Amino acid sequence: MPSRIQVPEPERETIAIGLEGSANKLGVGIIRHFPRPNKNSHRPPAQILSNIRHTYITPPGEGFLPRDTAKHHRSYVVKLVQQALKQSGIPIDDIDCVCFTQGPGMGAPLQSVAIAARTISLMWDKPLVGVNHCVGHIEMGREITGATNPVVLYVSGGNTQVIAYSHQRYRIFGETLDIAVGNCLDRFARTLHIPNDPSPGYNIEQLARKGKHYVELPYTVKGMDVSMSGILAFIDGLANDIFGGKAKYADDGSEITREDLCFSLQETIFAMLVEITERAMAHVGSQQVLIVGGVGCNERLQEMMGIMARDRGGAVYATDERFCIDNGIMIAHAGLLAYETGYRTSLEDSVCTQRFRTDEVFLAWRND
Amino acid sequence: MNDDRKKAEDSEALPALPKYLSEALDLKLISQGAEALVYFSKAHPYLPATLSSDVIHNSPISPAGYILKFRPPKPYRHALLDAQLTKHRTLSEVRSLYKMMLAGVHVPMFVAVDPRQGLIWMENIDGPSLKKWIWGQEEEIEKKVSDEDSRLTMREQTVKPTLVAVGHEISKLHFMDMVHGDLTTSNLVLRRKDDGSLEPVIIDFGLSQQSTLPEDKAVDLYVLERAFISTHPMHAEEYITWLLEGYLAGFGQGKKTAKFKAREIMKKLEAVRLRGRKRSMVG
Amino acid sequence: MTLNHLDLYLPQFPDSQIFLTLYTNVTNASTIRSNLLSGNTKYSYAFLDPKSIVSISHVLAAVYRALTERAAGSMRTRTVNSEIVFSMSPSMSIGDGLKRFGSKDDSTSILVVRLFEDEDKCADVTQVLTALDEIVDGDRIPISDSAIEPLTDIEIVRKNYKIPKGVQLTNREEATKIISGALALRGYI
Repeated sequence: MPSRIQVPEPERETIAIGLEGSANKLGVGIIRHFPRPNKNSHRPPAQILSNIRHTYITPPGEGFLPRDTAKHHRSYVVKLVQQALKQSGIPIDDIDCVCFTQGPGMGAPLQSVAIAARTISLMWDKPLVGVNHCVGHIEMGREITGATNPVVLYVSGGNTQVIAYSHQRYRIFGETLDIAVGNCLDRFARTLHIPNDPSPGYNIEQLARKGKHYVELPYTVKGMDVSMSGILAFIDGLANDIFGGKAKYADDGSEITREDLCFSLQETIFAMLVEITERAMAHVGSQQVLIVGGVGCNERLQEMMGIMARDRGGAVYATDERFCIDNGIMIAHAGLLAYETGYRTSLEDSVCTQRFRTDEVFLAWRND
Repeated sequence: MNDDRKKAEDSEALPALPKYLSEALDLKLISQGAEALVYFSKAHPYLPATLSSDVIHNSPISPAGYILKFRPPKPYRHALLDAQLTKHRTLSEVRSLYKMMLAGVHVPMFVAVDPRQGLIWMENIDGPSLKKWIWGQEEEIEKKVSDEDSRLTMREQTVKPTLVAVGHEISKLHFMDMVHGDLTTSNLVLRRKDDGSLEPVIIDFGLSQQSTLPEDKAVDLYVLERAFISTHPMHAEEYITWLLEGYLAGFGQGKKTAKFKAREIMKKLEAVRLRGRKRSMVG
Repeated sequence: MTLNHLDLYLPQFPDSQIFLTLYTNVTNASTIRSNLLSGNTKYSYAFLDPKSIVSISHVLAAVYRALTERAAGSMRTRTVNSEIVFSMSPSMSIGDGLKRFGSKDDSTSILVVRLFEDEDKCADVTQVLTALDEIVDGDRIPISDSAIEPLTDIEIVRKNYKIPKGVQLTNREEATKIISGALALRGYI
């Protein structure tokens, strides 16, 4: 076992502002960290000073395109930063650093938010800290739930990964081989012309609750990984048949409804996610599961994961929609953790990157 | 949160093996994976001990007893999906075992299957896993000689032939277009034969699949490489080289057409090694 | 010790007593068959043709399959006895299976399997054997793998199980392995 690594820790309170915009949610958050009161105690919980978000919502049947999303972010970022500052009551001088999502995500939206971050960093003369979006979710999840060393299921519109911590990195144990689970749900929502307000996934969840019949769908788990494009193609086909007048029937003779399809899709893909999470837990010998990312808000997923975790003598941890949906506070939090270890992102290095794997980040602030 | 926790020691926390089985047989739980429970049983599912060996002398019995692999229901899954998966996976595994047995690959003999209950009976292999055996050899060699050169020579004499044989066995699997899905040094077992020699046996076909793609076979080998690196870090490179020697030499019994296939797989293995895990993420 | 019958229980089915007997020099095979087909309740047995049998283990593999199908509610024939005969077959065709593996009109030896369960529990072995001896006109010989060996017709086995010419069937243990696997995987492979 490696001996405990010395991690530099601040002696005073620190404050960060974080900007997030890797997909269609624009978030700004301000967070305060406290130092350890004495050698033998833990650091007190972080304080959320403000957490504001504005989502770019498209009409039913339409997805969000990078250019329009970037436009949305540009239109709202100044207002959100001002609102966040006002809400926090913190003078700009007290802010230690400006954190922003460096990746992964959609190119144009990432860049628009990065530009805003660089601008305020120069205006306020505060250092910049680039943050990995996934690490943001994980660190915020750990902070809010208190889970010490869980296996993390990170599920959103853009990502599907099973992660476990080891030696200063979040290692990816399993992931999607094609599309993310949120993406699968969002696209099916479009097929069904479900409204995107507040989010397509939320609306699918509501419809699924009313579903009664389970329709057999392909189930694709390959070792520690999952594949979703085949399921989407299949269920899109079913939906199109039903809309085209070729009704499908359940065993009891009743017609298959959109509610049934939503229900079946959730049951299938969530079972797949629970399965690969369980595999990772068995592999690393962990009993805690932390679900982060937008799809983590789904109560059925939380319920299924909870059943599995309890059967193994463990527990599931999840956050509410303030934190599981993309937000600025998680960026501020993860960025501030890095800042406290001396990490800075120079302007030259602040280029955004659409592909940024979770395991590329060196977690200098973890000493376990 | 604390109320939700169940102690892992609670016997009720173990998924329920059908009652009649646990009562009628003296089953010993030997491992509990994410998907299945593996029990050891001295008894055969349909050749009870009351039948004497002279009466049933043509029975394919296992002197080292039997393994009962049980895929329990998963309560978090929808009941219909769960039943389907249990049945499908159980059958997939026995199909692999049977096909490989017919092809002459050394795998545990499949005895019986109850797909609805998720039960597979198979032969228990008497012998150490490759992992344990190598550790044992390394320890012995360390005690006998102290200089690295002599140690290497001894490894070449004892460990190498076994690894070459293991590599050969795996090549038979791949030549039959079967990909194991979980090749580790624990899933390779060395069966002690009557003459004292060791025969490599490949076990645990729970994640196996048919595939003609060289990429899939390369990933199979890559997973094994990573396993060597993690369980035998000191000499992993050496062991992998010997294993691949046996793999290449044995592939398709050394026939010409097979050599091309084997080269394809090696090329893909190079690529997989460089890439590490599969894909770059997209946001 | 030689037995003129075998009775056993399978661990998974503690309430089903399995009875096996073997007859040679049978003279009334066609009578047995016609009674069986007409549904005579005295003939509730599985009558197997030993020409297709390589070992007792082979038969028990079929019995196991029949019992697990019954427990799952997925038997393909009407009774557990016909299911045992059908379970000897590697193929899904019921009529074909019953014809190939069941006793024939001109059979001169028969292997009989019977299940005793619940109220039907076999209280007295002698009673059972007497009833059987009344139905089958032949010599009830001690049942064992050795007794079965001369009765097997390897070419019929090869044909019924579609075993390629290249595969040797002289080693009965190996043959049993291959055949048991085929019938366990019937419909799934």
